[in-house]
Amino acid sequence: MGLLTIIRKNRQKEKEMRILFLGLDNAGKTTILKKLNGEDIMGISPTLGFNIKTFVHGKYTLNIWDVGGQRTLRPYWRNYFEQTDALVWVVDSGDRMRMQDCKEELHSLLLEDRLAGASLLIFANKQDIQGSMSSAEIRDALDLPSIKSHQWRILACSAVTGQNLVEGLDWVVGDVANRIYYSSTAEATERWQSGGAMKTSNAITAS
Amino acid sequence: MSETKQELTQQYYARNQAAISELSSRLESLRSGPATPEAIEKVAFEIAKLRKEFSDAITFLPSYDQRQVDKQLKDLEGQLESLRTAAAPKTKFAFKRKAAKAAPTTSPPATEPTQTIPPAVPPPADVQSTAPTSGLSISGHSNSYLTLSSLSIPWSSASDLTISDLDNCIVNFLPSPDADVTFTALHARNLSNTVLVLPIITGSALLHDMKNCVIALGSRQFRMHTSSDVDVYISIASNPIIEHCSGIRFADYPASLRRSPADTASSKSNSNYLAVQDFSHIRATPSPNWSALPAEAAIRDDQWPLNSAVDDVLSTLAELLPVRG
Repeated sequence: MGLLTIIRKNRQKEKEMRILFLGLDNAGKTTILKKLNGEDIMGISPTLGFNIKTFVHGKYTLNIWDVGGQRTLRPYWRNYFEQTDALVWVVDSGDRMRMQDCKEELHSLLLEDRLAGASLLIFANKQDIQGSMSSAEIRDALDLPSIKSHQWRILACSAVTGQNLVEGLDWVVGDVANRIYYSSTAEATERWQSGGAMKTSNAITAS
Repeated sequence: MSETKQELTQQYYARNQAAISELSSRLESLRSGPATPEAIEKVAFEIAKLRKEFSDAITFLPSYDQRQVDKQLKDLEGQLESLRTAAAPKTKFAFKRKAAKAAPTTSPPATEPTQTIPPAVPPPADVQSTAPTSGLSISGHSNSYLTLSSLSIPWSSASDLTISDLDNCIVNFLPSPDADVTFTALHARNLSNTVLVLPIITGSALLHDMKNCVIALGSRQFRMHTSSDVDVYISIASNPIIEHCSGIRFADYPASLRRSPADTASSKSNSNYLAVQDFSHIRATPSPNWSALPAEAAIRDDQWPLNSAVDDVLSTLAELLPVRG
């Protein structure tokens, strides 16, 4: 019994993933998480500090850290880098005026050793708003094709309608699992890949 | 412990100073000679590396040295930025709108990442679906009274709103029978001496660089950055926030501006206008950067410049702005 408990606990621990949500202020990081968690999204205040959310996603437990994006908080992002499996970079697709700022913050993050190897998902959020940039426009504006250091993917999404949020998490979990839990991922990968084509086309039609 | 810290500091300092002087001389030569984009990018990368080393060194650097190094790096970054704009002035606005030529330019680079990034990357084909949907955008006016109907901009029933570079203007975007539009988000930048009257926005409001302005709006979230002397009349359910601001005064959204019954109904739950958080002043003491707008200084219901017959914009502004005369 004792040994079995230890083994079980160990296995459970192994199945944890640490995911970091970052992005400029007003991107919708907290709103995405609350929407994913089925919470009310109407009264969300700008994040002063950080939030932690824990989801059970398939057989993995996701610990998601959502750190505020105001300029005064960005120097503190570095305190959350340790042992990050995946970085989710959230973009306000309507914020044309700050795309340059957004690009610079993202690319300077990717220089960080402690984030080396983390999967990178870019959420092109706020697609429900008319006038938003499409995921293709954002891919170019953020110069994503130049990223060689991380596995990345961009997905058009909306925290208000919930569009593509779960698909995004699916990709993150699949990608991290592929890297870290080789043995136990055959099934998860398969599941993800079979849906992959369709999800990509979702992203396109949404943009 | 303190000794090792000192050693680390000294090592870092020596390395850093050498790198900084080397980079500044390289910038110097780039400025006098021909500056190729590659050379600039190389320097940019070096500076980014220094920036990163600096942030890693923050744990042991004494605060004075932190400030010094930060200043030096900022100076380098500023020089680099001016070099960049001088070398390629268009890049600054490169991502404005290029739906037409996006297709050919994006297809070649898309093949590169697919080697390192397997099936995940959306194929470049999706560029075609890039509809030229841009929200409502107002920019570059002065001494004007602006309403939705006076601007001959095609709008749809719901749109995001971008306002930039106004001086001495009155903007009245309350819905009227001939211009009924719902705004889903607001981005504003660089407004001075301007009165901005907006309806309830369903999404968030993000404002930068406002100077001596009056803003009336309702929104789900409100963020204001690097602004001074602004009176904000707001209906909001979350906490409004300010950052790097001074002289901001908050008041409730006037009932006289509410147009739909829903606006009025939501007024009770949206009276968070004094729950302001100042991200530049995260302390227990009250922030010196904002205050409640005293009733006697507030704009009276009959004073709001809603009538498009406002003929003298400047004198009307003189009565309404926070810093008058």
